Amino acid sequence: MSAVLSKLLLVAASLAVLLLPAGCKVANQPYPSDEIAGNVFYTSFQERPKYLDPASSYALNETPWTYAIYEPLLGYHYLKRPYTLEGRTAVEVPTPHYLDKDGKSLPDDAPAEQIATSVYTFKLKPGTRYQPHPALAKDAGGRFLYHDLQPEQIKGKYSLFDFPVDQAAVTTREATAEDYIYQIKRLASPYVPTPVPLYNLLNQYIVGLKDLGERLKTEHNAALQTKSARDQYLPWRDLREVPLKGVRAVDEHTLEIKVIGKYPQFKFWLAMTMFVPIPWEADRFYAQRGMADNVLNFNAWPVGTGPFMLTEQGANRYVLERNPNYREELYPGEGMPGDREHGWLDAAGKRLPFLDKAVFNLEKEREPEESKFMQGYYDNPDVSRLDIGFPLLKEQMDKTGRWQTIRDHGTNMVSTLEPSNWYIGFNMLDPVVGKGDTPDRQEKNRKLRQALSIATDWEEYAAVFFDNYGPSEAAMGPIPPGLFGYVSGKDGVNPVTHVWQDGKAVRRPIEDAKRLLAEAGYPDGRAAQTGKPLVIFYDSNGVGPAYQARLDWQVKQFAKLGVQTEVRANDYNRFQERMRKGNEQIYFWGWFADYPDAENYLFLLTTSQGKVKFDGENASNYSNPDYDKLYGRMKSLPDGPERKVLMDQMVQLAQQDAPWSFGIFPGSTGVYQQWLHNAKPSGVLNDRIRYLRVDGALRARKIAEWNQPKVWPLGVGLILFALLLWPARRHYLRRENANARATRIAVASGEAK
Amino acid sequence: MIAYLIRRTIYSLLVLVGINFVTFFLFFSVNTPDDMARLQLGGKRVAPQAIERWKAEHGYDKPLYLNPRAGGLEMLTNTVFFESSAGILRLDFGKTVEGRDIGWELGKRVFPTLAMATPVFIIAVGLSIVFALGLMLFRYSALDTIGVVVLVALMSISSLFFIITGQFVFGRVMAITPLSGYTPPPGMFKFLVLPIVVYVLSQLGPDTRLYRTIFLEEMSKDYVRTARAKGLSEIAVLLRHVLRNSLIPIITSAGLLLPVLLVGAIVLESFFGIPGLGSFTIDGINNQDFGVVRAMVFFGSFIYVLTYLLTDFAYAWADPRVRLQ
Repeated sequence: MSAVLSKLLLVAASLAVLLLPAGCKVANQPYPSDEIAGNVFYTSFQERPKYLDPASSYALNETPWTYAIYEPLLGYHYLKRPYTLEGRTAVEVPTPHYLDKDGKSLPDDAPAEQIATSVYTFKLKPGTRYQPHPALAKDAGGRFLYHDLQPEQIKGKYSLFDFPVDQAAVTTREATAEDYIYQIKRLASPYVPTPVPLYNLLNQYIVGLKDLGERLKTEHNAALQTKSARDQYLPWRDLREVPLKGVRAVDEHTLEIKVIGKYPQFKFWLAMTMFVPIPWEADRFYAQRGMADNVLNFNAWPVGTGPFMLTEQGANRYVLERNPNYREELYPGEGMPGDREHGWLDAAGKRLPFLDKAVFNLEKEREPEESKFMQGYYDNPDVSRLDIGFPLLKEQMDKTGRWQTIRDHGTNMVSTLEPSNWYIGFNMLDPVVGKGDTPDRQEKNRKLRQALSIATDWEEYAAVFFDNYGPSEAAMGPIPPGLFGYVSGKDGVNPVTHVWQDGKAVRRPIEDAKRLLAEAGYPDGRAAQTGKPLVIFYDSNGVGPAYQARLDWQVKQFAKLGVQTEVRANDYNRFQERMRKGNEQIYFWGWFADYPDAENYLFLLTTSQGKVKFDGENASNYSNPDYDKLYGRMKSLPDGPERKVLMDQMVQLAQQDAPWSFGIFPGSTGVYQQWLHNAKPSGVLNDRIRYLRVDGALRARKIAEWNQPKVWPLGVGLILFALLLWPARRHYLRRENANARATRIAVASGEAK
Repeated sequence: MIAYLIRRTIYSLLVLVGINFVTFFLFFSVNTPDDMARLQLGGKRVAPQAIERWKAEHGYDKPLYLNPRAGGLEMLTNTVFFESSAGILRLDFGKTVEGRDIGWELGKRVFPTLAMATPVFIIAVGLSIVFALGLMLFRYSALDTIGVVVLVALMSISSLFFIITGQFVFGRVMAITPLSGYTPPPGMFKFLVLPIVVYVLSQLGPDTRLYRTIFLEEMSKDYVRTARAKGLSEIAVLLRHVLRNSLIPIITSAGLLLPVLLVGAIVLESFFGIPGLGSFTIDGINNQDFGVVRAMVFFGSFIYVLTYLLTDFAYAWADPRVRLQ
């Protein structure tokens, strides 16, 4: 035993000595060294994308992939603010041509009610080619290599790379107007699993889309009837054969889309991945029997004309690589004041994309994600989100936590206000806080809502919950900053909740709220007639410790008026159900813009969007005919003085009626490593990866500098362990060498214990 | 033996069927098919028609348990419960809500889980036995007392603490292992070192304490005194006699650890970004994906049942007096 212990000690001591000097090689890097020094962008994702099919995808977390792989007709200028549409695969943003109900041309300024059809004509950029793909692969004789596969030939194949294209004569082709038409038809096709919910909106506008959907649905149902329950496979449906009245290819590079009536917001939808070219060949390829069973479909392996293509996908890692067939696109040469100082114009006129590869790693938890960013292993954590940087920004502002590391690492943090909001809504169908059934009741309820709006100190909320909302701003109305129609400064103040003092908006004193509360029939928070306390029921859309502080804060706000609050903490399912049924009294919710137009916020308070009646997005069920009338006029006008006047009137109505306590416009903070260039944060632009540039050599140097392994604690640990063995050895030897009497006493004393 | 096997298999099947029903009942008590559809469709601008279409496409457009519109046996068979359960009895787990084959996903994810769970199982059980035997050498001494205090401390600490501390110390301060991530073999080892160390550490406390208690009880038996009287050293007594005779309770507790390791390392896989079965389970729960939740519960139950069966066989191997009848 003694010999064994001595040997162990010797080994431990030797190891400790060996480990004491710090090694010079980076030991904790999760990527190969040559890749770190290369032209590769590293980022993370929290949730695996559900849909990468452009006919199905509409979630924000899917956009880093979909907007890198596909290219819509239109896109937003990377640097200009307010957001400006420009051509993406289209040459430019078309001006619609209006027709009356007889098909006669109308002038551009024709009144909306005369316009029966808006015709959008797109000139497509020539040379827009698809990524290499087996669906497009043809042999020298022009025959498709993989269009007539038998299930046994697909068996065992789970990746596109199981269909080699190295022997193919052709693996791509140019995108044509017909390919856009094919994709638009896919939006209506029941042959596409889980199409995007927006189909139900778009079919109200695109001429003939609804009819096409109905026709295909009938046909699809009939086809399924002929199948057994256990085999529901249907062969490929060639959508080129079915006509879509409102969309046509004028020629290979000209696309025409007819829209019902005047709908200026239609152009914003065209900047989304619903309107991208899809080759019929790929649809046919994926429709072969056996493909879906092996997860070979658009959701797993998209096919696009964008700057990148998906080359690896799995549960914890997605990899995009440069599309070798991408046409010449250049980095913008003009931007906003300050962009040059940020270096965002340094790459002006250079060819896109800059990156060879973008690697996305799964990070479900914030802690390792932040730590790996601090180590240099992410150039920008979770490229789809702009709230990751809030804790780091706070540490930097307060000079706490990792602020020195942030400073020393030269981390870039850029904050903006993006079009989104969080607010407290009052259910206008509720007898206490709602519209009210008599004029007197309506006036009193309005005052109650106004009083509660004043009492909720959103400025304090923004400061207290900085980690959740970042550098945010208290809202004065429904239109967020950065959109046409938003008014800042004195003119933008909500007179119900704020006053303008010393050059800034100041929340009205709580006495004003108390006065309104008394006028509403609840002096000191008690019903004047019965003396019973006023209890407000507050529906939260989340449960758990993360929400508790925010719920407690809300209770305190109303308590300032003597009003009691009963919180109903729901999970999101139940919350939505309560909202749909109108069972809530007040609630907390938010909206992130579909597109950067104030209409996308003002519509949230229109009668036709009522949640209870129409299952729309107006969760407060606010209904005001004057507001609706103004909305009807405003939505069809172009941005300009006339539209602005109407918007102002709508905002004033909403402020006075107070269906929302307007809450906050949350901030956005992009966090970027010093070697990542051209990173301008945006909550609207989803195709940012194409503009990013990485200095791989600098990254490799910095990572090596920041991640020097420190192995001496291991040596110390081993020495401590070795030292522990000495008394153990002594004790063991003493017990082994003890005589019978000593052993008996030792055991007896132990048992007595 | 054969009769025993048949009997246990029948019991197991009944247990699995029961678990399948309970899973279905609990899941749809909390979520409705409409909730599932809304979550999958994104929650924004979701028209009722889109919900109905999603449900029809995914087979959730039927009544859950009983279809009064259908006649005869179809009242039971033309339901979500029957149609989803019929597949699982054929070991066809169906598809995730995104359309991925669950069986294929399980096949892909079982390796990362096994790559982590197998070394954890072997090292944790082995080290716990070694430490417990070590404490036996110094029983009732100050070293033993210190050892027990350390074990109680290890038992009292949440596994989350081990994870965060492990990542902080080894990944951030010492910078000797990656904080998280995973690559397929052979590059996976450097990613697995830290989770294995963390998991083993979190298991050491309870396991060593349990084994120490088992050994203590065994040490008080007469045959141990006889062995000592024969002049055997303490180490020989522990290794040749005490350990051998303590194997049954050790096998029982180690057997219980195996299914937990295989299916239950949810937090660990989540923090370390390992694309294993635990991570698949948490994704299924977050996505309200009944197919995944049911498959994982079924798989977990199956592993439990199988482990108990194997444990019984291990009893017979460890102790010739045990007969499986």
